Amino acid sequence: MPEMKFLELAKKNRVFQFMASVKMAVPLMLGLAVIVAIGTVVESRYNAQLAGILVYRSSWFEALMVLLWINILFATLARFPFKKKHTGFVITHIGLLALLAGGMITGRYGIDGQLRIVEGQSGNRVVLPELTLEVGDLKQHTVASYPIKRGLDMRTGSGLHFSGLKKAGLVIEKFLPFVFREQSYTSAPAGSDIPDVALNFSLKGSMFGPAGDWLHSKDRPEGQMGPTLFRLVVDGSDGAPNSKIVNKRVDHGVAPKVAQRGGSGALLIVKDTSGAELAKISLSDLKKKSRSVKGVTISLVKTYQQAVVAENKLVDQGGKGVNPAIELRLQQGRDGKPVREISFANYPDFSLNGGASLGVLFQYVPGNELSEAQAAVSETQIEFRASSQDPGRVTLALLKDGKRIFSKAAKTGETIETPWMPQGGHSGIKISVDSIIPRAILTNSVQPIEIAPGASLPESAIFVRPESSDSPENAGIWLVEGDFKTLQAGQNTYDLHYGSRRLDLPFSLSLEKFEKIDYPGSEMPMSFQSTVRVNGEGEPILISMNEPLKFLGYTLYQSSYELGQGGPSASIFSVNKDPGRPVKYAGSLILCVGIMIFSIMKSEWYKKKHLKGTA
Amino acid sequence: MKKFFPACVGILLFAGGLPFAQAEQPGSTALSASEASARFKAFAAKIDSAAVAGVPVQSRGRVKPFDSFARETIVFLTGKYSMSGMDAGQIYLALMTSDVAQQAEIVNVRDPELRTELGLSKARRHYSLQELESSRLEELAKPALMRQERNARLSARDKATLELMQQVWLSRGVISGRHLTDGLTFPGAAEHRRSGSMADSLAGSPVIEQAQQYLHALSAGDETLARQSAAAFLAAAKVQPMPELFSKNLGKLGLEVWYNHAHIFFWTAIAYLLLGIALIIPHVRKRLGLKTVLGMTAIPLMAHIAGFAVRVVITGFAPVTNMYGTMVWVAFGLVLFGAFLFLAYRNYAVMGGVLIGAAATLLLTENLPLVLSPDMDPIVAVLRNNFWLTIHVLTITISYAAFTIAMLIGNVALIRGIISGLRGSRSSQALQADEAFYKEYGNLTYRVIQIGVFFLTAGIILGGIWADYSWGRFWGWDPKETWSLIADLGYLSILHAKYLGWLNGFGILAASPVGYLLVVMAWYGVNFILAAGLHSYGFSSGGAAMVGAFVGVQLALLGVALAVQQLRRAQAVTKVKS
Repeated sequence: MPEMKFLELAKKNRVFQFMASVKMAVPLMLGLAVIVAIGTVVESRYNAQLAGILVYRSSWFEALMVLLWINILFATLARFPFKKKHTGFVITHIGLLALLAGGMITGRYGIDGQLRIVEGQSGNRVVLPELTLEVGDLKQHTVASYPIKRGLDMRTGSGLHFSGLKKAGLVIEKFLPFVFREQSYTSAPAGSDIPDVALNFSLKGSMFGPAGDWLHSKDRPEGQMGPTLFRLVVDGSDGAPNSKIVNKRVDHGVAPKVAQRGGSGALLIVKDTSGAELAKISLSDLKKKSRSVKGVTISLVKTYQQAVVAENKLVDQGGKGVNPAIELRLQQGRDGKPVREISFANYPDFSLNGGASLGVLFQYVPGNELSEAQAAVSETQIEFRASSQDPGRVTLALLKDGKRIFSKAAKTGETIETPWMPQGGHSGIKISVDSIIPRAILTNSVQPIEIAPGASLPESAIFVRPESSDSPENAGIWLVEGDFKTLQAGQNTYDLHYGSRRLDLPFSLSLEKFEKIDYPGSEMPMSFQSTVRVNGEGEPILISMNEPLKFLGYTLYQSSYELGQGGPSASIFSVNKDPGRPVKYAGSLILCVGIMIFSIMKSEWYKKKHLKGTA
Repeated sequence: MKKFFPACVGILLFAGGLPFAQAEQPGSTALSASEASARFKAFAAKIDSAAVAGVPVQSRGRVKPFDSFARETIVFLTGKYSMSGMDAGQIYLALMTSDVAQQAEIVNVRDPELRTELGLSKARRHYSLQELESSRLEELAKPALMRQERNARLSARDKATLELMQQVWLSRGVISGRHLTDGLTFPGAAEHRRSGSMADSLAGSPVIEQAQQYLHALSAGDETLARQSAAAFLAAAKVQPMPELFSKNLGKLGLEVWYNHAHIFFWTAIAYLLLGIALIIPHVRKRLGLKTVLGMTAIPLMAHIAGFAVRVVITGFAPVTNMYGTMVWVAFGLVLFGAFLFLAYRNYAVMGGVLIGAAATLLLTENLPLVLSPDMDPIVAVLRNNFWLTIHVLTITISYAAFTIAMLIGNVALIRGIISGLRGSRSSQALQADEAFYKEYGNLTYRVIQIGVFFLTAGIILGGIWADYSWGRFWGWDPKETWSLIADLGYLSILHAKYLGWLNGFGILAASPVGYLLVVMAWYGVNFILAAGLHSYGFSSGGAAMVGAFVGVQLALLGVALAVQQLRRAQAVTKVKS
């Protein structure tokens, strides 16, 4: 057989000999052990994604695995033609080859993504861990997708060039692995019809260092800083507090960066026993007068910055609260028995839930900056009154309990001394309007950042620009993970999406219900399960922990969930398609059988028996 | 950190109205600390805690006998299950009813530096609630609480302070009666509440009423009344409405109380230990035949299995979901593999060593309730009703038993190497005896490692199958799976190195403890040091000093043994030259 001859020749080759040797296997195994050990330390210190980028999913790691595979393959071939004593060895190593090959097939062709579906809705869009740039060419009516490899270094130039993309007229100029999205206001081009004004001011006082903030007439007309409410009023607008802004922050937990510097007022969210939201009451309103929700009169008894127990009483230790709480008095109707309610902001589970008998539950959301002591003076307001016709002119007004006590016209850059909070001989706080931006629009800029231990992996960003070399640098745009943007280039318009690769399943899944069942009397989940329908028809199917749904070669697992705060819950399924699975399972079986045969044939017992048999 | 908050809220209710009226404290402050302690002890000693041991109490998601409830509470407060003759139930009940409960020295301040910082007397380790409350503890705990709230990294001192704070909160909860009220209020009872104050709503609960009568009888010191009311209390607690998951386990409470007090694993360990010592004394082992040894091993082994079975019956799942469970299982594996090796090689000394090792493992496991928690609380959702989980953990940890045997033999060989090396120049006969020893035990170790590698590899693959079944992927470089692979690669390297002739006799014996360090990392380190990844349900803390000492001893042994060998070789060379 020619193959045999080839093998005979190969066996004499020194490279083959080395590649087949145990001398290579031992350092390879030890090296692999050290490398993956480092990977686990990276995961523990940083996060799993970074460990993946740095070690497990890097190309050199793949190369190492291929080398190990070749080593095992050659070692097996080198023993050809196999003798009886090789049985255990050969089976074990074939099993190992199959197992590793199965793993590589999974890595290359397998699908491992996430599908999030909200209760009552359906979906089929799976989010995969890989990054892509999707380009919709509006002129050609084509959509193309370009894989972007995650990395740890800034990349420019050749590594990012896709000929297809170039043909479409675009170039990826830069890849930044870790970025921070910074938002600020800039002026829209003259002639655009944007009535909004943005204002940047700063404060300086003898009691605190310099501080500053942004206000925007639409997005953020007011902001709290220390004890004072700052408000931007553009003439025509009535200047009424826009509570929507506050609510928005609470609901989504995200806010533009400018909003993070200020504070928001404290809130009390009232829910019914099923968790549905009944009302949101701002604490400052509640301080003025009691509110009635569902026939229950809610009055504020006390707020705690730092609720601690001393001498068997709940007392406030004050200071920057770690355990803010609110004490309420509840009364049903006019002559119901008053009920005491204490709601802990950070430990809602330990709230008294005295209201439960009245059918109301509370969630206390303390304000960012507002403290008990400060709240008393929070009736102080500083108002910037601007005109949309002539935004360069601003009138600064100081209000106390709704009464104007100070007013002065301010120019950009001018510092105004106020009579507010004068400190022993020093004048009051100085306020300056740093900039006023008419036709203000929110713009994003992208700043590279360092990755910090313990933090989750920051987003990456790419800079895409039209290919034509004469187009100026600023014709391009930054795309941070998750961005959808439109890019104008010459005559053409492109729709761009950068972020996780998405995959549409050939079927859709509708989530009828998500349930989380706890062990009785505890918060510990006993099981969570989703009732789904495939393509919205047929019998409802239950997907629970350890009970996946298998359909059309895909396996859907209950992986995670989001409990709706008053709204519907969402289920997160892990979606898998693994063409390597049969290979891996076969390899596993062969490997185990191999080791067993190997151990038995090496044992004294077998040797003795075998010798007896032949004798 | 949730543990302490119920206690904190408990105090809130104390202000509103306490379900259990505490006895008056007539001039108790006038008592000196030692007088108060003596009074507390005398009071506790009179309580017949067995009368209420079987009262069903709910905590942490399951119904358990009051006995277990009190044990879990008291071990967290005091670090022990019993103190100066008082058992956990007595201490718990005495805390609720004694007039000197605030002065009873029961809170174990575990961190010695913290004791100094709080200005506590150095002669003791247990302090009274009164002492701690008048110390600077709360002031010290505040910054740590703040850091915890921000999810900032906590120093060892922070953790110690927070733990003590929790102990204080818990003891307040116990003394106020809130802790027991929570335990006796079964889920579902909340729906029956008529008003907002829990104390009011509980006033109508027959269980709480009976409990109050019982506690009143205790505080009055009326033993007859206490006995009667204990029976009524027990009866009322058993018939109260409860979720089905609880009611179907009511029948097991008696078994659990029995299990708590039978100390099966402790007595098993003592039997292993005695047998092990007998086997390593040449004079004794000569008189013991093969069958006698196996028969004598079988008796404690059956008890070991029975102990395991009782835990399975009580909890409904295989006890391999935490460090405690796996350690007990590994001790079982040690004896099992030891018996097989004994059958195959008839080596009495190895059998003796293995039995002593198993006894040490069990005794260690039984005596560190704070690090290796033996409680039988329910498991997280992903671990429920899962056959493959059980199989893969059992398979992997049984391999640890094999590696432990290999490590023990390796240690004996290292010590022998050091001793014979330090004796200086010796006859060639002695050297030959050494070589023969290394060869024999090197081969034995090789075999044991082979068994271990088989089980570890199979276990890793079974783990892959479980992960595929539960999480949808076979392999994901999760730290736990990665470290078991690292240990496997380490031992595979040893096996392949023997094939190459790189390791022989002494080499294998010296390498096996090194491989074992990888096992320690996979077994303990991932959960206790790295604490990352999907196997988060096994994470815990503590025991670092002990494991660190073990690693240190192993490395020191290895270092000294290799140095001695080098020295000896150098001497041999100079001898030949001269």
